Amino acid sequence: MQNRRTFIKNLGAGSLGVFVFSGTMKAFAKNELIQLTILHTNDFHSHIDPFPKDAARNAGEGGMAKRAALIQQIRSEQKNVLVFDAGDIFQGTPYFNYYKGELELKLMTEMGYDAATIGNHDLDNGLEGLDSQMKNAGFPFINSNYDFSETILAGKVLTYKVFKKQGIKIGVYGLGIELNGLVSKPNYGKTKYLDPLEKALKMEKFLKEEKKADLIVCLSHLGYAYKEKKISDLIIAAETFHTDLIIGGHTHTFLKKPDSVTNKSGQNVLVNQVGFGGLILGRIDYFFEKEGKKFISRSRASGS
Amino acid sequence: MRQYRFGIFMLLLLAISACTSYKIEKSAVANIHLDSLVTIPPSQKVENMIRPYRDKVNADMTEILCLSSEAMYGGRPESPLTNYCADLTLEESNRFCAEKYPKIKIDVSMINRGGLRIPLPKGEIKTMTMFELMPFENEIVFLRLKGEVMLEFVNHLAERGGEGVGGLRFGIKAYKAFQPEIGGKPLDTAQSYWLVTSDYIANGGDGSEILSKSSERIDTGIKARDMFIQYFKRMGKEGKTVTAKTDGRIYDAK
Repeated sequence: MQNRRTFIKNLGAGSLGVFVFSGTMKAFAKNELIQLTILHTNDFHSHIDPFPKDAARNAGEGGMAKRAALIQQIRSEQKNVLVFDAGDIFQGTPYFNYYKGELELKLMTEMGYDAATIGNHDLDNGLEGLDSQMKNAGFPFINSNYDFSETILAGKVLTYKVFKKQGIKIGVYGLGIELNGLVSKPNYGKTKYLDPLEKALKMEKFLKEEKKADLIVCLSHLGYAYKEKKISDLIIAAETFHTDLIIGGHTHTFLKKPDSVTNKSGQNVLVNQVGFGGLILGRIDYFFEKEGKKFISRSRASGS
Repeated sequence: MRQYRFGIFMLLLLAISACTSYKIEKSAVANIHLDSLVTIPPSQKVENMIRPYRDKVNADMTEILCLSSEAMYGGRPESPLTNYCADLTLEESNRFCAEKYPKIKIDVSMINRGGLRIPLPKGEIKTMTMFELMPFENEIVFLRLKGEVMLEFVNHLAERGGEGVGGLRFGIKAYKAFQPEIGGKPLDTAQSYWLVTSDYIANGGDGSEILSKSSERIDTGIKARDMFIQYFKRMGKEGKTVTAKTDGRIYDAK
């Protein structure tokens, strides 16, 4: 805890970078590592203003103006920043009842969000409700396991996107939760829910092999973990081969630190989720090493 | 030939650059709690974007709709809160029907207890109170039910230990409805009735799948909360004070 306090104080003083780099200075000097900073939120549920001063919990915390300032500060210190949201942007304060998500999406656009996935509450005003607000989002929605082809959202939701930062390719796909029983039928209409694990395996293979992604990120609104066998972020992490990071949502889980799960290829996968209400900004920094020559010789050997 | 060689060279270069890959050397995580320890001042630009929206919402939210003489709590089998909300839903629905569907008279209303999220306070009832009472975007639905389907639905309500109902009276005996009455007369399985409820319940929520057997359904598109706001506003304009009581509409019939 003391660590965090010290850290946050440093942050307030504008010296975040020093803290993050402290352990890696040496490596930096030797190998020319490239740093990528991923920032994320989930389930912020229309909490545009900080929690009320008289709230029973988290009084005065959160708020999009403060989040914007924090993201701005991190951008001023870091060259390669990506900002993601894992769904349930909508519903939770009268801002949504009044403006149907318009302000949430406009502010996210101003803050430079790069992508979001779709949460069950993002369909609270139906497929039309999301469709009519998409014009306010200057970033794409990514989902790989909802088939929208027979709906008004056909062709408007990406199944993946590859971002490039200083030569590094970041492949992103998205997973959404079973809609039946959670979202009222008229609100999701002819959307088909497809098996998330099956889609995850397909998407990561595609991003790895076809798109040559160096980092594969899954934006998930499946939920962190369940007592029953229901599909969750922990299961996706353990059952996939190439996914490096799962940014989760839905279960409003406050993880003190991300979980590290061993995947099918014996690699560590990070699973992070930051509660709800925009109280926390998730931050993960990756340090990349160039692997160019090795890679070329390998691809020659395989005859390509 | 030279050009050809140069072309190959360029292709090779392209291939190399296209094939460059990066390996994760390490990662570091630091989730940042946006609490009082983050002393960074809020973004003025974002603050300015929010202000006009906030001013409008706040002005509306703090509007006093009417006054209540006592706090109203929810409970089972009946309660002041559930009775009051069901009664006003029945009254407002019939007011709406008189204008739009003059041939329809709603007989029974059902508002699920779980959908009413707070007790109504004593004193000022504001728009904000309505958002706290009903944060969900539920809409009002009319269902025409055959008498036998209505009886099964009332049995379901009895099994749940009672819910918010209007126009309906019944006892609970061994988890079943005892002597159900609609509009003061015994429920007649040979007759059809109109029920008003939320789309959540009409779509089978809280175990009310039986409602899929309705013979007619009208989705009004009216939000339950808007209906409540309209009702409480009128109470205020007419100078009426909100009071509620239990009247034995759902009773223990051991």
